[in-house]
Amino acid sequence: MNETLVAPPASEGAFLLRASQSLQGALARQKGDPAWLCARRAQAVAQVQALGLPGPRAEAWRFTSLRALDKLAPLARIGGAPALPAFAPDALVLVLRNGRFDAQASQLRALPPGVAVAPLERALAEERPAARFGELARAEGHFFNALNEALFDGGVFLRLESGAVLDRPLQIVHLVDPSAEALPSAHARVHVILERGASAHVLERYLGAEGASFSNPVTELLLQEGARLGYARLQEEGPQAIHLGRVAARLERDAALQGLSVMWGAQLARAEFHVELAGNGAEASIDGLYLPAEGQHHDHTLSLRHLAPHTQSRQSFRGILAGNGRAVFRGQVYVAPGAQKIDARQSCKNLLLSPRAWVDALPQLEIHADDVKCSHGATIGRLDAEALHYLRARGIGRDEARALLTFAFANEILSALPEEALRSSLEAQLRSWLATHGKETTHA
Amino acid sequence: MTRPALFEIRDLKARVPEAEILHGLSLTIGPGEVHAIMGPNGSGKSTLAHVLTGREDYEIVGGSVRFAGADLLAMNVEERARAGVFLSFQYPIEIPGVATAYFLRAALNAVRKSKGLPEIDAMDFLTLAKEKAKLVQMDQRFLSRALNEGFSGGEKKRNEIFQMAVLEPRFAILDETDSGLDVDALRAVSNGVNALRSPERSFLVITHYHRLLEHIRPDFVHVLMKGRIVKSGGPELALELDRRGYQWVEEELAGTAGASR
Ligand SMILES: Nc1ncnc2c1ncn2[C@@H]1O[C@H](COP(=O)(O)OP(=O)(O)O)[C@@H](O)[C@H]1O
Ligand SMILES: [Mg+2]
Repeated sequence: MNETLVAPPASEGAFLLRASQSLQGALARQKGDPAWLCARRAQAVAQVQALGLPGPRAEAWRFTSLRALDKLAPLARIGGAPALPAFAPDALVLVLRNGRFDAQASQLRALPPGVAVAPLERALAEERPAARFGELARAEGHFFNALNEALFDGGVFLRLESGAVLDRPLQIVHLVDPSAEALPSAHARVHVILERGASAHVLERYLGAEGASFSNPVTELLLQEGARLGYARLQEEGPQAIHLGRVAARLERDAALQGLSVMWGAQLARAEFHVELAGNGAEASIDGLYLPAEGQHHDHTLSLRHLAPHTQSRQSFRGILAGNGRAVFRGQVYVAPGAQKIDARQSCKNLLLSPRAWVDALPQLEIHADDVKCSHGATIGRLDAEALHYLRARGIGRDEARALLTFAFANEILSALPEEALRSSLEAQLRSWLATHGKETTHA
Repeated sequence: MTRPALFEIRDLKARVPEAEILHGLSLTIGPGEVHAIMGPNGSGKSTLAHVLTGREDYEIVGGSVRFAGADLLAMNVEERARAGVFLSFQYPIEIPGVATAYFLRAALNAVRKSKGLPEIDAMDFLTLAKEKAKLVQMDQRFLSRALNEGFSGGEKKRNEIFQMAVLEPRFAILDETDSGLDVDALRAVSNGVNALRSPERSFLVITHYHRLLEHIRPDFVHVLMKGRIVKSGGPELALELDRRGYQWVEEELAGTAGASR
């Protein structure tokens, strides 16, 4: 792709201009794609051009402005790619550098029987998951999904056959690498299919660099009857990055999804979760933690669609906002007509460390059945004065007491994680975030 | 020769925005002494405990408090705790997400640091904490659980005394630590307190019941009513209050007030 060879002026429409240049490049190239994919890409390109970038009046973007996209300009190159974390020798790791498979950095050894992990381009040519591909994250009518479908140049395919168990988490590391492109952009695509009764853990980490970059990843998760998936998504991109990602999942009968989204990085980030509870007894639980500091905007937009009876969903989100940090939480629960015996819970708690921080928390319920248990609550506040006093009354200084309580507030999300190694590394990261941003500035 | 007082409260007046609660309270406590305070609900016992430990909801409008020769009222909450003033709260709160052991080590290290002592590491702390937990017969598993989260009333009170045992204050206030305890828990808590009694350490025990004072024998008993200490005596006063209630004290007061006119 040659989208970054031309540096467009940072002006109105610059993003769209750059996008259409890369689209032309993509169409011209069409390398080894199978015929069905070529056709899909052509349709996606037409969608991108027809839809145009969503404007400020688009309902889905009312609280999150895309203006920063037009200002995204290549800077003088600052440093290289972030260092890869150290992996255990038996870890399953697939690295995508600016959205493309990096064989050198990946480790895909000793897969258990019934488990297939492959770079997406290979899988698309061989496995022909065409019928299911793009079924959950549809390109029709969706600008960013269409952009991803037109431009993706790599990704991950994971399939577990019936009853298969992936004994170790599959770690997908997305690297933004400015040494390869002046304005790195990534449109990675992850496609996961868990057949009946299969079980796996997938961890997606988005690591960034100092300069400007754009990530537009799409992850599709298909859980067939009784399948279980633990899915964590950690966004740690650089301070100039823009990250707009979507996770689309479909849960069939008795399937269970345990999801987590943590946001530390980027200037503008959105993670969308679109979950369809399509079979009796399906359960989805999505937890989240966002920590926007000065100059950062973090958006979680979720839609949990109860299409079948006896389904459960839980959304549990916490945010700590520092400086002029902004956050958006939009959690929609939809219950289809006739979908009885539904249990849907949603909570979103926010801690504002500065009077300049702002959060829009908008629960949204759309219920077309009557036997439904639904609860939702959003709180926005400061640290509990009683708890602060208790700690100080034992000799702990004011600042340390605040740090302790702030940590505890966020750690309630992390402590629910079953994987010890991941949990303790996130806890360490949280402590270092708090050391930099955790001090409460005076409220007016 | 009498030793200098550890605690000296003179004519203390404190208020909340709505009303004055302590109307000139005086009390002197020597080193090693155990004083009990009894009094009807709403008389200001917890307010006294909070004012002495620096809670910011109360405004001091008169009087003075000296602790080991220093001006206690000039110190903030954590400075008082580090100087060795401890309160076993009447209603200990739950703090989700903060493990008891983690919190208490931070507290102990804050106290040690203020005394110029080195920090205690996690291993040594655990040894110490386990030993002290035994003292109040507290289940060691509570150490790794979030502070008081889901604890019963009795467990919370034990946890307060356990914290006292670890922090080893010079002056401890127990605010109705016995309320809601069954016989076994009461004995465990009392044993914890008695193990800490020493010629250097003083206690102020707030209670409604003589029962606690059978385990923790006080040197002095005071009656607090309407924001003042209105009567003081020896351990026998506690028994009388337990038996007869407070009405007679009030009547006696009204009588002397009338007679002195
Ligand atoms: N923070 C406060 N705000 C308002 N009123 C208070 C506060 N603390 C205590 N009071 C009032 O002061 C009086 C004494 O309360 P307290 O000290 O708790 O009594 P005791 O512990 O003896 O039962 C009561 O009337 C109570 O309502
Ligand atoms: Mg009280």
